[in-house]
Amino acid sequence: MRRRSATAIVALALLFGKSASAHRIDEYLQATVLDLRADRVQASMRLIPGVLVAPFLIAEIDSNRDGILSAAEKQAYAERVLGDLSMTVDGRSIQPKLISWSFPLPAQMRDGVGEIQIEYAADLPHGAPNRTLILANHHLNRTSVYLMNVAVPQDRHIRLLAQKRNEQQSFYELHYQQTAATDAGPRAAESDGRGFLQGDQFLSLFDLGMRHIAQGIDHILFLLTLLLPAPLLVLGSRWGPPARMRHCLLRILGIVTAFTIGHSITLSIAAWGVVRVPERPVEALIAASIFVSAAHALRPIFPGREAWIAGCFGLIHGLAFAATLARLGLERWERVAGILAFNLGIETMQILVVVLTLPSLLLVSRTRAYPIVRIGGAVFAGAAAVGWMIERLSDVETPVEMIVHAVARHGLFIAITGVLVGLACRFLPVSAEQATKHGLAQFAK
Amino acid sequence: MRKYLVFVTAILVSLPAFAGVQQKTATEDIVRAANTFLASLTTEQRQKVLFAFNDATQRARWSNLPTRFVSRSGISLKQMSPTQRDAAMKLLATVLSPMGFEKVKQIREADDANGSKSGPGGRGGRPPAGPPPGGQNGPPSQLGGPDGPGRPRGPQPFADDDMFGSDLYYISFLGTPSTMDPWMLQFGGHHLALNITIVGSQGVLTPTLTGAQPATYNLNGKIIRPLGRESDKALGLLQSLDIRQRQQAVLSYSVADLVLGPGQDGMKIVPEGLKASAMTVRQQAMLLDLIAEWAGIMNEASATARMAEIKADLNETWFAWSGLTTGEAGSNITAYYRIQGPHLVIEYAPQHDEPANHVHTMYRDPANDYGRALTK
Repeated sequence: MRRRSATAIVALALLFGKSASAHRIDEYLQATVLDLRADRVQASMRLIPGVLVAPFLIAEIDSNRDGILSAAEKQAYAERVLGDLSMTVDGRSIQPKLISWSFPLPAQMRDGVGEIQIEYAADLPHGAPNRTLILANHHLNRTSVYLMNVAVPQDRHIRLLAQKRNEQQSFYELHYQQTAATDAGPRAAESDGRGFLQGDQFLSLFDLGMRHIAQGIDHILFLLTLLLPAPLLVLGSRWGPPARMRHCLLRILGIVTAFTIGHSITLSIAAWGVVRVPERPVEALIAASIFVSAAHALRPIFPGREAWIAGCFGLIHGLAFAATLARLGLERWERVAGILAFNLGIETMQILVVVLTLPSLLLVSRTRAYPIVRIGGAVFAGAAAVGWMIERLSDVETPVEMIVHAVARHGLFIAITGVLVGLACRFLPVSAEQATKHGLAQFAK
Repeated sequence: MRKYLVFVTAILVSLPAFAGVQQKTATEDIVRAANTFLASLTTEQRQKVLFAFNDATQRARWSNLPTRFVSRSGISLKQMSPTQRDAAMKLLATVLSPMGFEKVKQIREADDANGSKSGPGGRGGRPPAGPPPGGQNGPPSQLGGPDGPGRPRGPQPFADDDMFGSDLYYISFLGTPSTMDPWMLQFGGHHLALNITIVGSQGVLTPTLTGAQPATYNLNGKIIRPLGRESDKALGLLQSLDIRQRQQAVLSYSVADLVLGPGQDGMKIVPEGLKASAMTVRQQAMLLDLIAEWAGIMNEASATARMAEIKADLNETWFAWSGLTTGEAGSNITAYYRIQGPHLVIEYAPQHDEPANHVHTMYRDPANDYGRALTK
């Protein structure tokens, strides 16, 4: 495959000749900057395929050739890049672990302007003061050009001595000296007390937590779906008219709190390494939880016990959060603060989402249009959940990720439109109270 | 005798004050030119060019790529009326030095040459400063419609007019022009990103990207090399090094592209190559003269202050070269080089497709990109 693509690229390059280009053409640029710490090395990689390389690269990433880069395919490609690296410190092999990855749209890659970003880290075992770190990148060697650099170390106990590279920069050797003081703990954190991370690390974990829930669209979808019927009363086996405002708020607060408590519990347990749960079943269970809450939004299955359900499913969602945190490979004593920062980040983002959607939810729930919103939302969430379940249980790809993300990108817009529609409905000839009465009368029939 | 001493001391003491006054008026002139430009815009256009000073997204929205691939915000020269374009050019001429203004003009004109090269039939002789193709691009008709800069650049016919051209350069402001409060002026498009932060009497040019393709072209019978001095002066410095110095300066590996290009704000890599402390006084002067090709893009007062800062760091400044060490002044090098100090990163990166004729350069201050050190 690689040889074939290389030949084709050369042929195409000859064909295109020296046209007035504006972007990378027949190379795959892989730029790495290492961030060296006392006990671990972290790396950020930028991978930019040229216009002639992009079609081949997209084909390699899109393993089922459906034209969509699914979440699973992206992760698999990021893992493959890491698999093509070899890292040693003082002659001992070390394992890089993925932290995060992001992909441009295939169209951007085809234009030669798309940038894949991969962050990874590897733990460094203790060793002698004079150390040698070696990184070799074998990924798609024939078509690639490389840049390898090291960031100025933040730790003053690390002194860089020399960097060596081969001509292509695919092989990189870093000699450095590490003085003993670093054994006490990373950076100069000793004076601040050992149980706490340094400010910037805390902030970055907080940020990661926020991004995790913002990107972990399934967590948000679960929560929102569960909130959909929250403002309503139950009438027999169906959803009835809106409940009193105070009642609604209390119920929503209860659901959000229960979800928080649930995932905090499992996040803490899993992050301490007490239990290890494989990621895939957890992801599938999360999809199932969305399905259950979508069904509940259609017809009350567990009226009045939403908080309990939120808490139970929160336990499952916490396991997924823990998987992200585990990839960071924090030291045990750093974890307490780590979990705190990460969890605070998740909470903040969650509250932001709820605060943004709450006004429109409450307003619209007092209009006649609400059944449409509720049923539409539930069907959407249910369909997404089914798509995710299929994707996570079997290897079949579905476009669900793409669709949900497209909707989420306009989340703020939708929330604002909701508020406006809600307000408009309030001031329309049919007042909210009348609508309520009307609705009640309908249900009473 | 004593009279002379007093006289000389008085002059020495008043020099910095003079410099201060000069820069003070420089900022005043810049603010005046900026306000004249802003006043020439319609309300709608003004809304498009003004951003909040703390708008981090807009601040980092720059690139070496053509505007069709990476859309810029603000409004382009193409979308301006002749009066507005004149006011924009007047503003640039006030902020930049004559050398900097000329460099920017040549980079934009290279984009015309580039467009004509790939376009059918060629439009080589088109005077670039003249009205844009299609003539009428009066602001109101253009801006309200779907043709604004924020439009999605989806699948559309491959029109060269939309890809390359000296009028596809955008202007934007972060904050409002002021002689006291910090604000930013951005001007850029393909192969150009000027990010100018003004804080009181100080003007900061970092981060700024320059580039050109073609890096040598013919305009009205004259050979133009927008970044020619960057090539010639660096080659001169390299060739002045003795064997021992050269061994340190010339890296053993190839560098395919900018390491600290667009999107790499805040990154500090470990410097390599030859330290300026191991250079002769003459070589150090050559290095400073080379650096002035970037620092000197700004108006004289700001450039002088910046050069003084760089000179103070000189012993901690590194020069590294990768690629062919031969060549001659007048034709562009194909080698990469980097100059790096505590407050400076300069990269000159010939591009793989046409090394001598396509180059990207980057100019940064890791401690003060976007005037961060002044606005905190």
